[in-house]
Amino acid sequence: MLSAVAARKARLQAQTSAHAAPSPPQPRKSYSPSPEPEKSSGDTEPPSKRKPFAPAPKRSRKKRKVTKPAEKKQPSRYFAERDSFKEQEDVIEVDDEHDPSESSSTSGSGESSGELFSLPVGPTAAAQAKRRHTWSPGAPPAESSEDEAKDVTFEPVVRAAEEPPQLLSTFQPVPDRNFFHLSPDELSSLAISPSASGKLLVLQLTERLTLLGTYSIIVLQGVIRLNGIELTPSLFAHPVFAPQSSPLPVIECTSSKNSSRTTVFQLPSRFIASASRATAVVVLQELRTGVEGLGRVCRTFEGAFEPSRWQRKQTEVDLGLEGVYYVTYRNQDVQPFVMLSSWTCALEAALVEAEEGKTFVRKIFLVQGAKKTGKSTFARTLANKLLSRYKYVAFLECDLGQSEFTAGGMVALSILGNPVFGPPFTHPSIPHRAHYLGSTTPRNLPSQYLEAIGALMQTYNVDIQYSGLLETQGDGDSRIADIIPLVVNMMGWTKGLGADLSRKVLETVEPSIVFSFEAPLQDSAWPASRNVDYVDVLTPFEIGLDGIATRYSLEVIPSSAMSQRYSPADHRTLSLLSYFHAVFPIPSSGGSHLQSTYATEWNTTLPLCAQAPYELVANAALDAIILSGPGSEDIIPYEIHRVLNGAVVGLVSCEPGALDLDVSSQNNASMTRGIPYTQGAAPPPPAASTCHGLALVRSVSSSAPAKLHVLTPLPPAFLASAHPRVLLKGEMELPVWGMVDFRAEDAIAGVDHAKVPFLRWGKTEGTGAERRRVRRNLMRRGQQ
Amino acid sequence: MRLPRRVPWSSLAELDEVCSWIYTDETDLDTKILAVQRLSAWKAITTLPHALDSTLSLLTVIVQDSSREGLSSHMLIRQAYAVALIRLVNGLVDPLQLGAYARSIASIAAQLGLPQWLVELRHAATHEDLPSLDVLREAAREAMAWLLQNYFNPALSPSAPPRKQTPPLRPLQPLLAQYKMLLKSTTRDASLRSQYKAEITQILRDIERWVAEAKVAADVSAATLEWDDIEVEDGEQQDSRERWALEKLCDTLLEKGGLVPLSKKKRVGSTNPFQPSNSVLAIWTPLLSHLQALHPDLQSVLISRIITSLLSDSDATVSSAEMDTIPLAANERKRDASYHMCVASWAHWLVTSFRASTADAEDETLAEEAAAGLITGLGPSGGTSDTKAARYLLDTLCKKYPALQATASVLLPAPAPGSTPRWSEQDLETMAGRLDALIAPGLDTTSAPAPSSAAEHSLGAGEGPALPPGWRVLTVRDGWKPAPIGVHVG
Repeated sequence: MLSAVAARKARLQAQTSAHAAPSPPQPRKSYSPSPEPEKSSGDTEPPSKRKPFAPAPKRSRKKRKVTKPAEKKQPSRYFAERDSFKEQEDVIEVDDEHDPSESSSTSGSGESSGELFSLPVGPTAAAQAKRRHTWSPGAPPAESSEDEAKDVTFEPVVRAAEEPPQLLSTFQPVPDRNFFHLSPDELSSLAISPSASGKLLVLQLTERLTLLGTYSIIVLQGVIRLNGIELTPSLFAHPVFAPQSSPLPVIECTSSKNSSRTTVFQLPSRFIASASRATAVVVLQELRTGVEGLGRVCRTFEGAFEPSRWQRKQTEVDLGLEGVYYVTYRNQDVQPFVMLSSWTCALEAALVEAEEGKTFVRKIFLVQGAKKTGKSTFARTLANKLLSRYKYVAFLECDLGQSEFTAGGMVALSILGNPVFGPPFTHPSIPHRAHYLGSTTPRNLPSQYLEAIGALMQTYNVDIQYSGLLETQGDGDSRIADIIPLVVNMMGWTKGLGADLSRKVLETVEPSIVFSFEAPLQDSAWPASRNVDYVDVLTPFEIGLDGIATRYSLEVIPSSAMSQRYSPADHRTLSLLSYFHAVFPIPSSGGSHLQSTYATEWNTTLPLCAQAPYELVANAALDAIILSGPGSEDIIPYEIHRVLNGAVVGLVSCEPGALDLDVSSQNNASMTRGIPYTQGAAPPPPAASTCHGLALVRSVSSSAPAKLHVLTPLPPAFLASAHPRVLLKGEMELPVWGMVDFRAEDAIAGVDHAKVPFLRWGKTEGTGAERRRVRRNLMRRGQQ
Repeated sequence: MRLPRRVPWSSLAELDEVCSWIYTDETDLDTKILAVQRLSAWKAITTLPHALDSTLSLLTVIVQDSSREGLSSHMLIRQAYAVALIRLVNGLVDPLQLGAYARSIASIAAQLGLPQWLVELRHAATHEDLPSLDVLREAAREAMAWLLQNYFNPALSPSAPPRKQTPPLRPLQPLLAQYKMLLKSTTRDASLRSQYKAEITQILRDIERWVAEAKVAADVSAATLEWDDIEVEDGEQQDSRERWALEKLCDTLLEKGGLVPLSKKKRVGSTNPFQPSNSVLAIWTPLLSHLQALHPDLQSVLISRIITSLLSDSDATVSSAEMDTIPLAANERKRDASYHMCVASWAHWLVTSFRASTADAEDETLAEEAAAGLITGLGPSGGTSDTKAARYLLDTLCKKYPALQATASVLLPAPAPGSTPRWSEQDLETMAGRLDALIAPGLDTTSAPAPSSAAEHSLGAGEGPALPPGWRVLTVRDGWKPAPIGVHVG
């Protein structure tokens, strides 16, 4: 492995010297899919300590060893012979090594030109990938199942070149040349809502524009790339949320294989001259949703949607749109979204591979990897990418801690119709179907977790996969509607029991394509065991799935590309508070019944403690109250009102008969003041229940029958049809940010801090008055 | 805004009630059962303080052991006692493992005042044979008494006098003296380096251990500390402990015989660059680098302590008022010009040369911080003769970082020799003018965004759509009004 490292270093040096040009470095895309050579295990593997059937990850590591010498030659070839490709956006070098012995022997000499060629991405490259991953799901595997499993590794050739450029925006707005104010009449003539002011931008090839804040973007002509997703001209205004807390989306103007002159609109005449010279024409519009008000609620995210003061001083460009800020340079506060080349290649190849199968073939994409690898970002990008070809994409969230489309603590199945641009807290939604577990990790309820995922997969397989067929066609949408692909985002817990759970989830999901992240390099707690864990996760899948799936190895996102300022706990807090402050639109009757409903606005004028609640009469509105989580079995009926007071609960509805209602529970109604609680009752079976969302029990009356005051963002019309009659309380609790009142410094809803129940300011008294804390990075003697 | 902590009780009276259920009558099982039930409910509301969590575990076993109903095996009771005691000790000790390296549990327990034999029992129950039922019962009794003394009593009467003194922090000077001796030998004679290598490693580790102990001691000796008010797992809460420990460390380092040599001759360093002499640097750089790697704040803490000492009058005791742990004779701390120049040169070296690999921006920040401290301390008069060293340090820093020059010149007019500054009416205007000049460039014209128009989207405007049976929308008309979460209105 040492020599490979040295080779990489040498390559890097060569690369940087060749890259002396001052222009912004063109990110090099490189691509070396290496299908598992079917009969090669004998001649390339080192003879020592190898079992005859080595598991896949080992092979892939070995294979990298083989590929590297070949890659080493690429830079010179790339620049000396294929200079014209420099002009192209996406150059992919496909390193075909069907015969590994040859490719390793020819490395260093100049004869390998037959094995090594460059070609632009697109149908050709895809076809190339296709040729090498030929498999027909209908036909039985010819070889043994293990050999059939494919394993594709995308090696980053030059890491340095993937560093995002310092200059984030190269588009310089010049009024009335490439930057026009649109009057309300002009907006109307473009069929754009004239309610928010808009600007028309004329972009040239390779121009970049990075904005902070919230805006919506409409592509009128040409193709632009946003977060790695190509947007083509359409009527749809994509909402974009770009806070500092997550990488900023970069609007890039790219040439595309599609005709860049396509336009679906009749531009007002004064723009036609400019537009004819342009590569792309877009409209930026103000997007006022109130989401920035969440910074008031949770002060850790204060000002996340606007530049910091010193940043403001640096920027001289004012776009004249409220809540939209032009960002010129990259700095520690502002990180751009980076699309790693291995990601791009894997996405392209996977999409082609999925399409290659006939129409009615499972299209399930699973993303797995450890924490902090970019897993969620990739899953979101994948879903967005799929939405350019499919009308709907289903998304199964298995990460309880950081859910993409729902508040945490649940596994959820959502259906998307349009790409989302923004971090999870900017698109809370009402899931298609979900199961509330009430915990941010499946550690304490592994079997419930698996059961819930199993039930959701059942829903997908039976109800969703082909449900697009039932939809009315003919709305001018050219995307594929008759099959709904599924993206599965796995949890980041990949060690110990987590590895075990991951394997079982893989067996349940039966993905057709798996994207795995390499183990993160910064995890140094037990460096020796890291690889072992990795193998643990991957090996069973090879065996368990009969090798049907193709696996793509992805490069881990560099830690510099992620904001260091916010911890996962901060993001969880924000996403829960965002959910409770969200305003969901009333589902329009004309809309699709399939697509999940997203929040479109946030109401942060009042803190939770001052929002008018719903009142539930316990014995009339509810069938059961169920507690889950360790220790919940010990809670006697007499104490239930205490536990519910201030609790976050899941609103669950069950099919009739699904709940095992104990008749004796009605007998102790006097004890519980009419609250239908049975000690130790099991949660409703996932197969016959669904969770619609969360609610906060803000208070419980002391009179009988008990009345519960409940806050939930779910619209009344939705509640009436969903009819949740079960409240499920887990371990999750309301963050303290949600209990305080941001309107006053020393009081909550007019009550002085000293008199506020359940909260305590100031120092704790007494030994052991703090919560237990665990140190996992403590070093022992001799570790110095 | 300071964030509160969530507690499961609505007021301390509820905690008091539970406490009385447990402790009023040791033989009353019924009230103990009530306490177990209440604590179990609280545990489902929010994470309990560790002491309460342990109380619940111990109490559950005690109730079970006393009732003897349907007891199938005594092993069960022994195991339950053992786990409750192990978790009690671990939970108390673990949060105080604040250093980079593990300390022995016994030493932390001693600092907490936890009976030593409970620590031994923890060890035996974990790694050796399960202790006998007798021993375990006695231990549980003692643990419950300890919890009453150390948790319930202070928690219920927050203003009560502080608990009994915990052992004072051991002095750091001997460790530093030993370190200095070792380094002196090895810098003079490089051939000794390998011979003393192990000893130097050992002493560095000892000093690090002292820092860890100081962090624990910070809990009891600094009443103003509020380190556990935010839910962040680690991080901020520990900052103030860490800072306290580092300040103690720095103060000791800055005593004569530490960073400043005893001999006045050796204190003279070079002036270009302004830094201590090479022999002094050679001795102390390894220690500072070692500590800096473990405590990133060290650099700034040391600089700020130096500035504090420079600015205080030469005969004032800098920090001995708080240094209750290491009493020092006042005359020993008598400082003079050469002392001041020497610590000033250290400050300059720390800003400019120490950790030269870090980004320029960081240097700049440190320099700014240092300059801000100096300017504030020197005041508009530009300092007296006692603060010559401080003034010299500021001038040197300004030369190195031109950006500071402008600021300093506005704030610190060169002292006009001979003229004693007198307060006059114009001074106020001058000050106001300076204030305007300072504020003007950074003026923030943007104001907080106006509340969005979405504000009026509130629940239940008008009659509202149909809701499920048993649900209704509350409004102010129904007598509902805003109240803290958990308070029922209506």
